Amino acid sequence: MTLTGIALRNLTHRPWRTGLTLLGVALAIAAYVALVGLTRGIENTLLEGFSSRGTDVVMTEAGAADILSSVVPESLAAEVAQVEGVQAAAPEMGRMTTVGEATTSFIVGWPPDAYGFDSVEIIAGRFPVAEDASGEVAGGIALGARLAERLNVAPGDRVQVFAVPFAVTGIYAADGVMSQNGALMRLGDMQAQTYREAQATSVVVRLEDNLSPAERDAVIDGLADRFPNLSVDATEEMVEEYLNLRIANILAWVVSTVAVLSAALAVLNTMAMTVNERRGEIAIMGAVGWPRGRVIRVLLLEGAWLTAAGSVLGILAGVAVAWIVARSPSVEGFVEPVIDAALLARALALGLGIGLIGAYLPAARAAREDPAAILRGK
Amino acid sequence: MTAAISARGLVKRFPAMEHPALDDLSLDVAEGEMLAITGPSGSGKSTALYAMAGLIRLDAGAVTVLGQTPVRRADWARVRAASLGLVFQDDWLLPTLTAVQNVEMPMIGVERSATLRAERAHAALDRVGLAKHADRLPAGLSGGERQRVAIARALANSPAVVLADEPTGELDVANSERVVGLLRGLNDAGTTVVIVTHDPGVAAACGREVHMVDGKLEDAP
Repeated sequence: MTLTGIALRNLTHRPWRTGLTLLGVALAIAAYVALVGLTRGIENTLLEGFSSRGTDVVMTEAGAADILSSVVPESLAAEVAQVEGVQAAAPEMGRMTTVGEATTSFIVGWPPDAYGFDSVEIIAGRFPVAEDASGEVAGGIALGARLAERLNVAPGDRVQVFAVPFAVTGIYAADGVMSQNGALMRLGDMQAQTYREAQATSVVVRLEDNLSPAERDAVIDGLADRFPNLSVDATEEMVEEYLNLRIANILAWVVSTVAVLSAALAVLNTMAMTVNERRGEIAIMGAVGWPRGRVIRVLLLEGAWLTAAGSVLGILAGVAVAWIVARSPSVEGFVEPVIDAALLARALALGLGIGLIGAYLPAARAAREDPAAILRGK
Repeated sequence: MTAAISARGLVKRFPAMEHPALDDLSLDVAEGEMLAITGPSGSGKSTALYAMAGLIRLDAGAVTVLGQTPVRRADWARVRAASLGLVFQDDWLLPTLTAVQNVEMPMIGVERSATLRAERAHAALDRVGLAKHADRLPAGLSGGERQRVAIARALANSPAVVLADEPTGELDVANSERVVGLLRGLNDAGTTVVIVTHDPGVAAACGREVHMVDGKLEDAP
């Protein structure tokens, strides 16, 4: 018989109470893991979307709430490309729209000479910029490999976009879940379909490869000075400041915090009830010569085991929920949860913290009590 | 003869009580003695026993156990673990632990080897005639059996002194006699035993009796 054995026996002795508290902890940890994992997934998706095609700087309309509602003139890209330190610049139009039957995707419109094509590998057919056999520039759309798979289409098929049937010219492979589930079309086609002639949502910029961090910053500052009506952000900063992402982050933290606080109160309540019911047992531990620290330790072990089990259950549930959400039709293709060892370790530490704090307060109070008053009679 | 326990000038007041529960009480318990403390309800006899075990904070006075005069709670915990075995009117067994695990409980932190702890716990249960009930939970034992497990628990660390507060208070005659017999046997083997009791039969089984009234010693009736 060890202290851990005593703690575990006390927990299993009251299976309903233990089970319900454990579920409360599991729910909190699951909420934390799922929400933080998904939010980080969104952040990662956005970052990957830009960085995978070698974009270092994104220039958008100053004050626009997010990149998709920004409007900049297409012609700006040529001017930006002349700036020293800039390797290439291209107008880009991004839209969230339905492709095929109720599949929401992120579609990007690029001009034929956009540098982004370098990072996208065509695996079937061709990009919608190349000339076809008739020598005409064919309009059409290229689909990310995963989107094509989900829509079950191949080059030559047609898909409905902007309520217009577009020919699928090719299938491409790319890094990033959004790119794989996205689509590419000519900027001109997209402008025509969205009534935005000569406009783009952003100008994306690739900087020279050999710049030091300080030189990169200097180029970005120079662009900001030269184009004061635009918001000029390094890709990482743009993602960090992305309004929708910030809202998602705040929501994730608020919901997680409420869930974690509720779990902490549940554990505190359970341990307070347990300790109150077992004042006699705690008194006898002191009476047989256990020092106060050991009495507290056995109660802390109860709290720790309870929340460790709840945390493990919560982590499993949180991972499952995050993946189920990511696979749901309305979200699929936009987010791949980012749940790494560090997040799981934090979740476990959070769970154990809840247990230790929730157990310590009643345990310390009980261990301070005068055992004689309790032991003199039930 | 050397004193196993020496209490000097003990004073304990409880807020709700008009008179002190212990009123300048001094008492020596010799090594190897079996002492009964008797007295009417509220006379302070249980309080005196708890004071000897360091389980209450005194307003004045000091208790010396086997030459040590502990003051802090931690010191008292060490003295109880090493030298004192306590038996109460209620058994206070941990309901989630089996009989043998309850007996083993005081040895945690004293004896490092789990095997030795288990062996000693089984031996203590055997001593009180409950070896065959070692793996039963308290709920599966009778009142008398539970009290015998509590005595085995008090013996777990082979204490020099056993302090018992109304150990037969909840038992029928047959079980009372068995418990007193066990305590008597312990004393015969050299353990100092102090029993607080209402029961003249139990007091008669002890070698000496002191009587308390209003927190003070009186001559035995």
